[in-house]
Amino acid sequence: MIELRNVTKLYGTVIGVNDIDLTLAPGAYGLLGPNGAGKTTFLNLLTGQLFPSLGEVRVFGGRPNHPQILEKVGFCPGFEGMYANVSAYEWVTYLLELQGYARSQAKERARDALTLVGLSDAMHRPIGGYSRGMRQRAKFAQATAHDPELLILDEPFNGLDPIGRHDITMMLRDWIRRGRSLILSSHILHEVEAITTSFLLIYGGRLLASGSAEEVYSLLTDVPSEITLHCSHGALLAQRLIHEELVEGVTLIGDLGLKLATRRPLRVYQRLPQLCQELEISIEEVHSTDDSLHAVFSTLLRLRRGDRFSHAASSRMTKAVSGSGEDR
Amino acid sequence: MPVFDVGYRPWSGERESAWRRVGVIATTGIRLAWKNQWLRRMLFVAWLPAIYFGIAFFAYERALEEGAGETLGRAIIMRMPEGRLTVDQVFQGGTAERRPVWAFMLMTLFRYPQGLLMVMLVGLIAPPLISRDLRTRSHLLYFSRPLGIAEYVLGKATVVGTYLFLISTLPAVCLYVLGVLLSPSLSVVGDTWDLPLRVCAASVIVVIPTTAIALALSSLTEETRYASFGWFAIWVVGWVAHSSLMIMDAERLGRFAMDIPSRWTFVSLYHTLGDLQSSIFGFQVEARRLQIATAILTGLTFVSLVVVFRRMWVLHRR
Repeated sequence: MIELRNVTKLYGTVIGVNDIDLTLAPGAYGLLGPNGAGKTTFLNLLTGQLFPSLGEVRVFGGRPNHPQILEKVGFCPGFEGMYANVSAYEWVTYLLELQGYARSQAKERARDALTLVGLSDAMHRPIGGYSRGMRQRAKFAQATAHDPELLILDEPFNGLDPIGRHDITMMLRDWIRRGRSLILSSHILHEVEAITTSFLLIYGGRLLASGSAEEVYSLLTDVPSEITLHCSHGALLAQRLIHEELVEGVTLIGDLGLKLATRRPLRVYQRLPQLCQELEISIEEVHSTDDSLHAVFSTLLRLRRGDRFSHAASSRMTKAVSGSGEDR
Repeated sequence: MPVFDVGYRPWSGERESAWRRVGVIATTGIRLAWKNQWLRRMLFVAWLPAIYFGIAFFAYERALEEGAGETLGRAIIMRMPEGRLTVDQVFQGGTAERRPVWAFMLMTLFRYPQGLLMVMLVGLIAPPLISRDLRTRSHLLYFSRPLGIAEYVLGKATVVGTYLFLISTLPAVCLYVLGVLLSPSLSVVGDTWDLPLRVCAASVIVVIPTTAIALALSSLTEETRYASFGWFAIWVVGWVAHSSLMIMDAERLGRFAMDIPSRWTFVSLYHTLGDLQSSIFGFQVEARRLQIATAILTGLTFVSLVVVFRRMWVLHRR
């Protein structure tokens, strides 16, 4: 369905995506990466909005900006992209007409698509009066209304309330169940996980890995979690935690701060109250700096740099990371 | 009880021709522009001069055929600013002067009231056409559809062209038809049959360069007001520069500015267009001035189109 051959996109001296070599079969994929990772650039290359500076992009075997290819692609951008003084109904009808639908058909499908995303009551109101969530729903409707084979969504959950997230999640699951393809970008792991189990991990413009949810979690199990503490007698607490082999590493932050690296965070949380009592220390603040996606990326970056934090992990990840260039 | 699937419905119909997308962009642009109350008022006002000129046609034809209404005709025609025909010429030339008189009145309608309205109307509708798409980034949604840059630009240009047609070509053609209907004799058709064609040609001369310039300005900025400012600046600065140079010439020659031929039409877009329109309506214009006017308008149109296409290309295919 999608082929990228050594694709690099430069914005002047800034690299948007860097030497991505990838083939994706029809299916559903979650494009994961932190802000600024290159997700939007990657998606814009697929929709023909951007030309690669180097390499070649093929979608359904053709150039992404070819009219026949664009007829098969639905794009829900991360930006607003709508006129404030027209209604969602007019807007979706208009975009459907640009897809080649006759006006009467376009109106009918626009009504259906907007009803499906829960905008049946508001579809005739000007978009300028919509909440962010309603705009997001309208964008989703315009992306799906022309019955594309591939749906490309750039951060579709931004601004949606929990009900909206659930509705869109259900719709996307239904979309996949009907055998349609999907590429969904997000920086939140569990959002993507609720929809698809195939991930593309992108960071700093590079495709770090591609794989299934199991492969991602296998990385996480070997990644030490980070816990930050503000307490009295931090050195004493650190000594005790090391002695009990609860932590893999400790960093002292001034006199009162501790940063713990542990593979057994639950055990640490259970043990901390007892240690406070025994050592007569007070803990003012505990928080986990760990973010699951952040941890995955840190791990992948360390591996790419050649750090060997865990032999087991590295051997498991070699397969996934080689995915910077490998097919899934 | 059957449970119906109310979920997503696939579609397998035929898609329409790619060129219909030009029409879709144009009709949507026309509809959006129509929401502007000032535009609707302006279109209403645009027809008032045609009524005034209609009365002039009627008075002239009555004076010519029936020897009545000359006083009214003189009163109207002597107020027309174009000085190519004197009032005496108009009423003493008989039917031999009919064609130039009709052409003179149609051209006066074109150059003065409709010319001013054209500048104002384009200044109202053209600046947001592309700049709004750039500001809202909706141009990226347009181009995620099977739509080329040429279709997009042509669609936007059609919006401007349609409204210009409504305030210049249509009133002039209607005025001609009205003049024919009000004429006591049908011989007027034989004398003036070419005038509607000249009206269309003069409209094309106005529409193409002005639309190209307005779209180029709109494509250069995300701020509609800057595009509007640029549009009006072109006309006002040109007009003021032309008038100032003419006054300097007149002072040097010790005559009135209106009495000397202009050497400076090329500094003003309005006067440059006027030269070509005069020529189209059959009035004598110096060949060198015509060549300069043609070269300027062709050059401006070309440069403006290059700017629009280049800008869209850069934005669309960064």
